[in-house]
Amino acid sequence: MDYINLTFYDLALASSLILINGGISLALGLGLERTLLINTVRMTVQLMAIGFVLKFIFMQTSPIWTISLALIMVALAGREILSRQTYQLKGVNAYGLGASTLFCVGFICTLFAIFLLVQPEPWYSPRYFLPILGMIIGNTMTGIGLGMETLTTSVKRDLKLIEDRLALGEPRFVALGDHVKKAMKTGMMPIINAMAASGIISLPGMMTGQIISGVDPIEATKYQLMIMFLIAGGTSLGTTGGVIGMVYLLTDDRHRLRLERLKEQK
Amino acid sequence: MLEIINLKNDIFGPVTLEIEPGQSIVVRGPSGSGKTRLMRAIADLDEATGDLFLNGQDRKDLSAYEWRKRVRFVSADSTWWFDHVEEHFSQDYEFEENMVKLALKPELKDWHVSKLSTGERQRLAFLRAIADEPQVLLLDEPTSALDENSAGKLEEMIEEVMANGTIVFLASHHPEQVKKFGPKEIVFTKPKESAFTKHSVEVNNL
Repeated sequence: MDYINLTFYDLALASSLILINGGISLALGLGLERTLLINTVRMTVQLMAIGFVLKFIFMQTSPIWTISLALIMVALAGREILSRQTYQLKGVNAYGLGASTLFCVGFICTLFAIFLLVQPEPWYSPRYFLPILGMIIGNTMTGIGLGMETLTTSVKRDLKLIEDRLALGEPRFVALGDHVKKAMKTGMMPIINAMAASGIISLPGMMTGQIISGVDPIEATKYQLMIMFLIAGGTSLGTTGGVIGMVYLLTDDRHRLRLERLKEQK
Repeated sequence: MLEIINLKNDIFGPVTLEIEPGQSIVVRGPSGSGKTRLMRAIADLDEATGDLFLNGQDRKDLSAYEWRKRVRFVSADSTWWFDHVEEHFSQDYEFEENMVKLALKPELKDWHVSKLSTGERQRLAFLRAIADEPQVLLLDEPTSALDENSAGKLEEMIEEVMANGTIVFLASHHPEQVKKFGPKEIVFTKPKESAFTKHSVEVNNL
């Protein structure tokens, strides 16, 4: 493979583009310099750190290390879902609903890909397992987060309307039907749009990476297609799980709305 | 027959009463004293301990929505979720007859909900609530947005469903309505000294 290694000098030169960005911010008084600096440093440190972690784990090739890192990834993505919610459930469910949905969907889809599609030897080979899991949960996370956010904010807004429907004898999934549909659509929209755009408007990052590292474009495309199918499936499963789970947590077994279980995030 | 046994929650104290088909009971007391809360609890929309039996059938043996098909709470201000009035009713609903009884123009059924006046909405919400013939009606200030004439028409219609055996609870501030649908009544009194004391409830003339 003809693959050109980047030197640290190359990176330093590339980072000078950020300086231009900072210069514009100063000149126009946008006040972004501080945030820009902090986030640039943060990104660099985070990526370097994950680079070293991956290098370490790749050297181990043990199921324990692979699964441990996978669990940490899911745990962090679960936090990300939580931080995007205007209204959160009280107690452990706030984190639990998003994270457990993500855990189930992430592992089901990844294991499906590992055992039935890619079939690497050994199955826990981190260079397959972790990137596939990462791409699935990265997108599923957005679907779950958007779906839950849309549901809680719209139910909160339409409290009176939903209670009127419940009073007329509608079961919870009928009374909340329109809200559930809207939330699921919103959660799935980004991935559906991404499918339409990929290849024309955007060349997906994974495919670009593979092509640069010397993989035949057709082979890179095949991988990318598989990943897109996994992501689309994962996102719809995750959004469904998150939204349905949220309906159960916002109602009780007597089909009453229990919005006191929500608190607004400061 | 509706039996309410020791129904209570953190807002109102225990209420126990029996009421026969076709009878009405007035719920009165100052605003915020718990009238709405009690009626919501009877419809199982608010949590409350105690027992409710409708014609001997335990609330707990029915799913919540089956209970609410029989025991219907109607709030003072209605909401509408479809665009047009008609869509909120079943397809074979006889608009003509019932709307005339409430002094509503029959063509209102084709209207966009946003064009309705508050009074029209309140009367239509009443029709929507009785369309599937619930056995108990819990009406929260059902004439609050109505003028004297249409309030009278609505009262006549309440008497009509009572004649068919429906039990009616009616929260009201109007002395004439209280007279008409009493003398059975549940009276709420707001606690005077402390906000943490439960509102007391008195059941009269049963």
